Formats: sequence, C-alpha cells, structure tokens
Amino acid sequence: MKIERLDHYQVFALLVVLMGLLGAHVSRLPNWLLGVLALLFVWRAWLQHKQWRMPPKWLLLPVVFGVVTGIYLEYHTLIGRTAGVTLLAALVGAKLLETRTRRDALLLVYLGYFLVVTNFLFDQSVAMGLYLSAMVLAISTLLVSWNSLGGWTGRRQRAVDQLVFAGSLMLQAIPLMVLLFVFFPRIEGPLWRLPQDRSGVGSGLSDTMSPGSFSNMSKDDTVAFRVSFSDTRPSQDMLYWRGPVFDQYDGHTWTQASPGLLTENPVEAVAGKSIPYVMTLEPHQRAWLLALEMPTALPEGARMSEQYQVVSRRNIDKRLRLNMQAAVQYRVGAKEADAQLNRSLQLPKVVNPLARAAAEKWRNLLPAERVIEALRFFGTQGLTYTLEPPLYGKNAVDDFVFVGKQGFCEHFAGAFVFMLRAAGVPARVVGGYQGGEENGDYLIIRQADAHAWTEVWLEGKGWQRVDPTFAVAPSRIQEGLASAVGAEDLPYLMRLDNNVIKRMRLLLDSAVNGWNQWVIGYTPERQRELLRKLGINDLLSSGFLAWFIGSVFSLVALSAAWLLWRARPRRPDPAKQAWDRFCRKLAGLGLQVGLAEAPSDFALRAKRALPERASAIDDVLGDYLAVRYGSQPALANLARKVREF
Amino acid sequence: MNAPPPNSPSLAPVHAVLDQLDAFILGKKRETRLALACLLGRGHLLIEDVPGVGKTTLAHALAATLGLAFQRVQFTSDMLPADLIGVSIYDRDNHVFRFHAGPIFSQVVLADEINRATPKTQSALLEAMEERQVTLDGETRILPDPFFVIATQNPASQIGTFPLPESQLDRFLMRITLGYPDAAAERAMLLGEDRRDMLKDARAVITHAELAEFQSAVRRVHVAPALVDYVQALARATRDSTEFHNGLSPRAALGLLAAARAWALLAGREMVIPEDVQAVFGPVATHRLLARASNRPQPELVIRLLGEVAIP
Repeated sequence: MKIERLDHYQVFALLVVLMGLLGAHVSRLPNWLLGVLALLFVWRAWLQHKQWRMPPKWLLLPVVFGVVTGIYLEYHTLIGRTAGVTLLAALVGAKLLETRTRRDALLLVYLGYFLVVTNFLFDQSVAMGLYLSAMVLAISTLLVSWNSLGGWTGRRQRAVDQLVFAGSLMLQAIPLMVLLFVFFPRIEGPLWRLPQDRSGVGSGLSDTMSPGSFSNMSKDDTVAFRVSFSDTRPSQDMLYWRGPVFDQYDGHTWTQASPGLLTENPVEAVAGKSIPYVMTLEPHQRAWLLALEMPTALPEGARMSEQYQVVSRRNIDKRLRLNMQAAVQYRVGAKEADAQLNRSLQLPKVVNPLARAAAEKWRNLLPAERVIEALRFFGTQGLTYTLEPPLYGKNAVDDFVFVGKQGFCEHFAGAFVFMLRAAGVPARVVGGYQGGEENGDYLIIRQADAHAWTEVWLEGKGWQRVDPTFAVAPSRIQEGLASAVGAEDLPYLMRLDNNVIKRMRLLLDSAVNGWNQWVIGYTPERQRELLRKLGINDLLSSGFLAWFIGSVFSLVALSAAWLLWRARPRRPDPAKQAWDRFCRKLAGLGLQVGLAEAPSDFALRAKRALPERASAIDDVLGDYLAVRYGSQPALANLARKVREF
Repeated sequence: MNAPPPNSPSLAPVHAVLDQLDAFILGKKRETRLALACLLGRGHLLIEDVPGVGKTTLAHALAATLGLAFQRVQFTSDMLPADLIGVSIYDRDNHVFRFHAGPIFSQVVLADEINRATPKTQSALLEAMEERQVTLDGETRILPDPFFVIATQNPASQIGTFPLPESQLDRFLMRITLGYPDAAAERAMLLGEDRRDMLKDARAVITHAELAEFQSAVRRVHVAPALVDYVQALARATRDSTEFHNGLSPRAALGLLAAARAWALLAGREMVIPEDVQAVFGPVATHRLLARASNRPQPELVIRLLGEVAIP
C-alpha cells in the first residue's frame, strides 16, 4: 500500500482537534501529565514545522514507560474510570510522536471518538453534551477531509463543504440515536461497574445543626432539587420539604439520633387526597431523600425512619428522579413510643438558665396552650429575622432570646424546641427546605431555601409542625426568603426583581430540567413505563426482539433498495445499445473505440481499416446518428442493419 | 446525409460565403468556418493572435461578403466610451441636442486590440454586446441587426494592457487564433493580388434576408436529449476538474450548444451530433477556463479534458 505522508495542514488540524478533546478532561488529569501532554504536542508541532524526523523508538519507549509508571503511582491502578481515561490521554499524546502517515492519523481520530465517550463517564450535563457534539463534528470533519483527497476527478471540496458534509452525517445519525436511546434495554446502575471515585462532598444540608449552618447556605443558589406537581400544587406556605430530624442537643449542636426504620407508612391524610409529584434530586452525597411533609407514598427502594424521614440505602451520588406522594394535611404519631417521646424531652442540664426558667413557668398550662404561649413569647420578644446573626456564646438560647434578639431559622427553631422541652412538651427540630421558585410548570428549590422548623407532640394529635420563624417573619414562609430579608445579601437568583438576566437564567434552568427529566432521568423504570404505553411488556421477550430486529432489518433493506433504485444504471437508449454492439463487433476485428471518440471519427477509422465494408459502416453510422441525434427515429432500420453487418 | 435539411434554406449561399472568405484568407478553412458559425449563432468573436496574420482582413472580408456595414475601432488607452458609442452635440440652428452615433452603430464592429483600452471603455463595448442596445442621455438606441463584434488582442505584448476579466471574456462566444499560414498558402498570398484591392472589389454574395433566415435556421437545428447529456457531461467535467479556476457557466453551456448548432448547419445537417460539439468545444471553452497553474487559457488542457469525457 502506498504510504501517504501527512502535510502541515493535516497535522495541525489533528493537533488542534485532539487538544479540544483532551481539554474536556483537563480538570481530571493530574498536573504533571498535563505538562507532559503539552510537551508532546509542542514537540510534534515543532517537528512538523521543521520537517524533522520522528523520534526513534528507543527515545519514545522510555517516555511511554515513564508516563505509565507515573499514572500507576498516582492511582495505584491502570484500570477504572479515572486511571483508565488518564492512561488513554497519555497514550494519545505519545502516539502523536509516531504519527507520520494517514493510517496513524486515522487511528488517532478513532481514539478521539473514544475520548469523547469517556467524558460521559464523568459528566452528563447539557453543556458537556453540546461541547462534545461540537467535538464529534470537528473529528468527523477531519475524517471527511482526509477521505476526500482525490485526484482531479475527486470532488473539489472546501473546508466549509467538509464541515457541512460531516454535519449532515451527524444529522442523519439522529433518528438511529433516538431509536437506540428509547429502545435499547437500559441497564440498572453504571454500565461498566467501574470503580467509583467519590466525587466531592456535595453542599447542602448536613447531619447536624449548629448556629450558622443554615444561614451560611442562604448564599448558595445552586439547585437542591426540582419538583413538578402533576395536578394540584399546594400553596407556598405548605411547601415544607422534610429532611433530617434533629432531636439531640448538647448545648451547641443539634444532632440526629440514629433512628430505626418503619415497616409501613404511618401517615394518615386528614383532608383531601395525597398529592403526587415528581422530584429530581441533585446528588448530595447523603443517604436520605427530601420529601414534602408528610410523605404517603415513597419511591422504590426508599424507607421511612421512625422520625418520618425518607432514607435511601445508598448515598445519593447521582441525580435521581423520584415519584412521590404527600398529604399536606396529615396526622401522624398519635401513639408514639415512650422512648421516642423521652428523647424529645432531653435537655443538657446546665446551659441557658434564663430560657429554662421562663419556660418552666408555662408548666401549669395544658401542653397545647404551652405551645401557643411559646409562640406568643417569641412574637413579643422583639426578635428579628436576619441572614447575619451575631455569634452567641455558651448559653446560645439565652443570648439569642434575651440579649442579641437577632437570628436565622436555626436559632428560632433551636430556641423554640429548647424552651418547649423545658416546659415539658416533646419537641424536635426538623431540617429541610421551605418554599421554592416557580419556573413554568415546575419548582426550583435551591440550597438557599434551606430552612429549619420544629415539630411538637401533643396527646391525641401526634406530631404537629410548628414554625417559630413564621411567628416572627411570616413573609419568609408565605413569600420566600427574599421578602423577609434585604435582597442585597441574597444570591442573585434569589432576589425578587424580575429582570432579563434572571429570566434568561430561569429559561436555561428549564432546559437543564428538561434534559435531566428526559435524558438523564430515562431510567429502566421509565423505559418500562414508556414501552408499556406502546404495548411492549418485555423488551427482551423473543416476540418483541423478533419484531424489533425484523423491523430494523426491513428498514435497512428498504433504504438500501431505495438507494439502489436511485443509483440504478440508466437503461441505455436502444440506439446506443445497437451502436455499442456495432462497436463490440468492430472490436472483435481489432478496432477499439476511444473513450471520447465521436461516432463519425470512429467510422472513418473503421472504413480505413476495412475498406471493403465501407458502405455498410456508413449505413450504420448514418442511421445511428439519425436515430440517436435526429428528430425522426428510424430505429427498426438501424437494428436490422446492425444485425446484417 | 449531406442533403440540405428540409426545414432549412438551401446551403448554396453559405457555401458561396465560405468560398469567398477562403479566397481572402488562404489556408484557414476551419477558422473562417468557425467565424461564420459564430456569426450565425449570434455570438461575438475574439481573435487572439500576433499582428499581421489577417485578423483585420478576416473581419473586413466577413463584412464585405455578407454585405454588412463595417467599422473598425482601434482601441487605445486614452479612448473614452463616447468615442465608441457616440455623443450628443448641441445643434445651434435647431436648438436641440443631436446624437452623433459612434462606430458601434454598425453591423460588424472590429474592436482592434481591445485589451489596450481602459476597463471603462471595455465595459461600454461589452455591455452593448450583451444587450444589443446602447443607452445614452436616458435614451435607449437599438443597435443594428445583425450586430457582430470581432475583437482582437495580441497575447504577446502584455505591457500597458488591461486584460479582459473573466466575466467579460464569457461574453465572447468563441475565441480563435489564426496562426501563421502554411507554406503553400503563404506563397499563394505573396504571389497573389493585394488583399486591400481585393476587398474593395468584394461584393456581397448573400442578402440580408438570407442571412436572417440562416440565423433562425440555426435555432431550429435539432438537439437530441442524448446530445444535451453530452454537453452537460462536458460542463460538469470542467466544474469538477481541479485544473481550472472555474468551470463553464450555464451561459457558456448555452453558447456551446448554439455554436454546435451553427456548425451542424454549416455541415448541412439538421441535427447536432457529438462531432459538432467537439469541433467547437475548444474555441468556445478555452478562453473561459483559466488554468490554475498559469492563470491563462491553456488550449492543451481543454483538449485533454475533451478526450477524457466519454460520449454518453
């Protein structure tokens, strides 16, 4: 085979495209390798520029060996997601230095497609999808350009034409892609069971609550989860998204007891029916879910704790799409176990004497009245709701309620539960999110919507939600955070003013949400659901497989048939056929017609070679020209004369 | 096969024209035929050659033989469009502007050394060639019919010239070269009568009506679908080729067909056959196909391409 050397343009185009591909991996590659790769690229470019020879094998081999050793030392393995991709990137860089011919370059291009795929092992966002589509277009254009290098008979193509051609190839692939996406059996869990590296600890609610843990989140406008209600949406002040329940207090930090799991759902809906909704939860690296109070139906695999928190078996390390139901008017825990109630009365002995003394005065009231009294106390104490509360000392509740009087939801909830416990009412703090921002047909709940409220237990009524923040700053609950505090301190997207940038960001969020819902969230369950609607019960049943493979084959066969029909050789004109036979007959006599030889020129040659047949040749020629180019066909005549020749 | 086509006039006047032309221009039968075909196909002719090979004589002889009014314009770098088209001059007696027609108002115009004039003047001529009319002072004047421009240019000396741009070259149906005569023809010419005297005595051998009849007969020459396939295949080959800057334009393809029709008529045929297309392909295509390598017309490349395109 002829070895085709690459020219400058091809080499530099390849270098640029490969840099774009490796660029997507930059944040995942170790710094030293980035340095080595940069060196390899510059080296290759320099060799090309100077037209120097490629480095010999004995120089290249130690480089490769060193890089592989380095990767092994870095990850202690060469397989797995990160180490594998790193190795691939390193080898692509090394391969550059023995890329001389078209064949080598083609190998790199195919590796490039593989590099594209590896990105999806790490990042499945819309932005990455768009970037990688662009990269696929770039590699394909490269491939098109290398395959359209022809002689002068080859089509003259400019770079733009090649780009358009590659783009049209990609567009043609879309139907097949959609078909495979929808119908290819989806596999539970990560496709290759690659060893997972733990992605960075997510922001969001933590397992403990101490002063500042919620107010710090008020600066964070990243999305915690998105919710869409299929029919009715509860009013804003009913949107309490329940997270961890804190029932142990050491005087500074509220923590979660490790609760047992319930075998059945104890929540009773009081008025109305359960409200179904779909939650798309962003990964937060903890083993619990968030749920609208109170959950009546849980997603598959989730359980409810004794404190009515929805927990999952594993840490949430990827985005989940959850079908849930909730009753906003509910009754739960009327027959609570003593151990649970006792735990909800525990208090550290020595801290907060003032608050404790104030609360103990309420002990002569009925439990329900004590709660009302406590709310009244909070309402009349002159407390203010602020994002930047001062730091309180050892007696944090006393300092907050009687001295500083400035607090965020964790101060209100913590102090409220402390005082109720001191007054003898079982109470606990509930963490989670409150409210949410409407965007089209779904709600966005951001980290800044994090909130803490309380739950009190009353004889005969069970656990009831009481939000002391509501007593002080009702607008926080009714209208959201932005109306309760000054807007300047809030993240940009949480502010109330409805300007263009904010609307654009919300529009972008709907696009991301759609992507999450329909592409990332296309789980095996959703596939089953969709296929059931199409009347397919089992993707792997032989009946469906036969139907599917059969239809794919007939589709391919049909399109192939159509293409063949379109490219069918035109049936030559009868006169032309006769003339061709005449030419073949003469070829038998040693006279070959030239490619562009005109009939009369050929006839002239034939007459010179076969003078005795001159008149017969003239006859055929005259009739052929008359039939094929004249306006009065005389085909029968011609055919006869050819036969008789 | 050579019998006169039933829907065409007798070819005798045309043969008389060719005979008289060949008496003036010795040994150039193919070139005189091409020039006549170009005129019958209502196209304009570009003759590219060194001085003294008979360019002017050919133009003059054509006009005389066909009985057409003839004007010769020597193009120079200081020539203005008005020198060609004419100018309106105030008539003091009648208090009106009177238009004094320029040399372009003639049936045969010989534009000598067209590449010596500035682009401005060149465009004035080329516009008139395409539109067959001239607009001056808001008044449109129709040029005489037939209107036939023979332009000459000298390829050897390029200093101080303005080469015609491709778009304007496209307006010439054919470009021919006359070349030196062969020894016998040259001897006959050297021994023969002075061409200028002969031209003075030349008389028309064809009437205006006959000429118009032949021009319309050209358009009636039959073109079969198979022949259109061939013309298209040739045009496509020039466009796909990497040897040339641009392929043949649709106007060029139309011109190729018109020239082939006229050629077929001169051969006394009522239909066009591939031979006719091949005969006129060089003169029609060469000046429109600038070679990438030299940026000039390259006849040998065009001939090679003709040999590479199969006749469908």
